[in-house]
Amino acid sequence: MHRVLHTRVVAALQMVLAVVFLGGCASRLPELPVIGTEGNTLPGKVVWHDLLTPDLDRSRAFYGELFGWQFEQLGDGYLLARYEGRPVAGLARLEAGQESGHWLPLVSVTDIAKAQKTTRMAGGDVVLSAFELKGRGQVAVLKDPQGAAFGVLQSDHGDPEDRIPPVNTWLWNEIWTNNIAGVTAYYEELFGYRRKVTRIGSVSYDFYVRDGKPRVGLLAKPDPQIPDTWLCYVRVNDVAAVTDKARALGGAVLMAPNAKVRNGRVAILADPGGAGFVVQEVRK
Amino acid sequence: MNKQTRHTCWRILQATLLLGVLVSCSPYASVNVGVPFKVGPVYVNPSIGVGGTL
Repeated sequence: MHRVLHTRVVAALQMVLAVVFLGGCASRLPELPVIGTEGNTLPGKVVWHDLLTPDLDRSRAFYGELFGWQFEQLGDGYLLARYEGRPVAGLARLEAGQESGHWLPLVSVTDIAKAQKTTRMAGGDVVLSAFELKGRGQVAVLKDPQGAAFGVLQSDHGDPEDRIPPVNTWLWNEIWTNNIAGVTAYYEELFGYRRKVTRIGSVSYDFYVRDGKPRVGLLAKPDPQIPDTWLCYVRVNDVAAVTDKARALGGAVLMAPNAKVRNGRVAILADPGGAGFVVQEVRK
Repeated sequence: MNKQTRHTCWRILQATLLLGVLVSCSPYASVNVGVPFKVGPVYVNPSIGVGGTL
């Protein structure tokens, strides 16, 4: 009799705690500041960047030192980064066991349910179904048909205006793939993009435009063995100095500045958690 | 509720609180993009950076 009572009491307690714990998680989602302008909708524009990182403290130290970003704790496992007072990125802690960090660009959409459906129909994957980020809107994480992960955001408060990016903020975004034709039909349908090609000397460059604005570039992957990926660029004043600093802070230099690529004004780096990104000097 | 039941409940409570401290509740916490990002030691592509100048 006592054993039956004991088992039932323990089971009931486990259920109550599970409900409380899961409910508590939902209520502790980060409350984010508004980044857009009311009524301004720019579908296809990359409007936000979130870092998925296995080590939140180390990432905070790295990006704080490298770019002068300042951080604010907005929820369990989530930091908001600001540069000169403006929100610039989010840093989200990954669960234990996931060792590789990744920068996730979020692209504006007007219908997130349609974006998920389009992705499934094209053979892509909905990695994280739409969820509400308070103050921001509906977010989902998708993979394109070639496996590149990115996010989409259906904003509650409009999208940020286009502007010349200040240093230490996001400059550009690219999709690295060996199958540009294979992903283009998908991205054209998803974001209403149109593919264009530009030539600078002997170099050709594919990119997507929406409403006349260049939005995302396309580049051949260095190694067909690695998965397709999105890659994000940060504008800096001095690529060589930032590269040295990243190395000193525990990051990796994946492509050092060199004369063959934009006369040494670009480098590919990885943070201590393994998330790759590009730094570039531009004169705009 | 006897002593054994109280003891078991207390242990469950402790384990749950510990889990609550350790587990992140960010919605992204469980996202696995399966990447490890790498480019190889001698990667040079002259198209890198063109987009930033558009």
